[in-house]
Amino acid sequence: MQNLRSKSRWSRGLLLLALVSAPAFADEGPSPGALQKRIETPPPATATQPAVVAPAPAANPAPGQPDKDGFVQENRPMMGPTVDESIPAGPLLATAYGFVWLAVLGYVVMIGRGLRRVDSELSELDQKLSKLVSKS
Amino acid sequence: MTTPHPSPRTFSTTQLVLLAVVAAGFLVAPQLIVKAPNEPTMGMVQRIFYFHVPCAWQTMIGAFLAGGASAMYLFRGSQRARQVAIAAAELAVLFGLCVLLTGPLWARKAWGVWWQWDVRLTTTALLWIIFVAALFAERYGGPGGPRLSAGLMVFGAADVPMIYISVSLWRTIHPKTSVVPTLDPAMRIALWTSVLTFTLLFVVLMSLRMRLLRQRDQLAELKMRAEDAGLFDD
Repeated sequence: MQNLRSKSRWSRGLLLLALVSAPAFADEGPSPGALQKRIETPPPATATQPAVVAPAPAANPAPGQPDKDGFVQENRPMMGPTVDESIPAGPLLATAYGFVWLAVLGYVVMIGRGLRRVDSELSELDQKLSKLVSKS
Repeated sequence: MTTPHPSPRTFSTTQLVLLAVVAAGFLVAPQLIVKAPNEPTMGMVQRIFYFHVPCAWQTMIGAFLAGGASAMYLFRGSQRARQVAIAAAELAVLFGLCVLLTGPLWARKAWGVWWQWDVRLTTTALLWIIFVAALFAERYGGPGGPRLSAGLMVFGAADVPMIYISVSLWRTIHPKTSVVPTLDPAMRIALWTSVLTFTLLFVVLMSLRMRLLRQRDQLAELKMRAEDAGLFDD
């Protein structure tokens, strides 16, 4: 019994919510009758008020400006090459090749210096040992 | 007591021969790259590909070698395996840096941005960071450093197959590996010459680095034994 009473309270609540929210959805689309009437009557075109209301300026930002979500609209064509021709390829290519050469060269120099250092330390140790042997 | 036999010359004969071949390769490869036709969509910037791809392959070879050698060091305690792992990891970091720098230079022109958090790019950056961390652990990690470093290298090597198959498994903006067989013959010759040259360069650098590591280890051991024997007490 308690269960039934609770269910009916829930359904009454849902009905009330539907009635309250109905006007909010009423503007989603005109009824077929209203649409017919709108087609028949010409729009009231006046010099001060345009017939079709343009969207608010905030919804359509100026070119190059971010919209409310932070996205900047790009005016490049959708089709065709995606390469940005404004960036010269030459310096990018030269930098890429130059960096690889420099990195490899730097590593070779590092190894060469390490090998020379070890060689000098070994010869130093060898000299010390030779002196010790000659003393004894 | 292990007696070191350091070679009086900086390079051995094999290394000198390999270096000569590498030098010849680096003389021939740019000419082939210049002669290769322009890619119609990307234009001249596509030529970064002839250094970018070989560097990427050397990074993967280095990471795999380092991972395998590290596993051997962890399970068998082989010092030679540790030396191989360090040398290969250093080369993975060196060539990885080249990949991570040449890639964005190409992307700036082709994609309009320097970087995208694409799967292939992200996993490659991750691989590089893991190996840099491993080398830091090896050098500054104290007594447990080599083992920690080896563990990191095994972990990093597991990222290599992920990088390779990432373009096939996920939707990425990075060009797929299947692009290589479809290349123009002149482009393919330039690419394979570069790949061969970089592979030989990897071998030469690896052998030089291995020799340096071996000599350093021998020198350290020699010094330690000499001090233990009280040879330099005065």
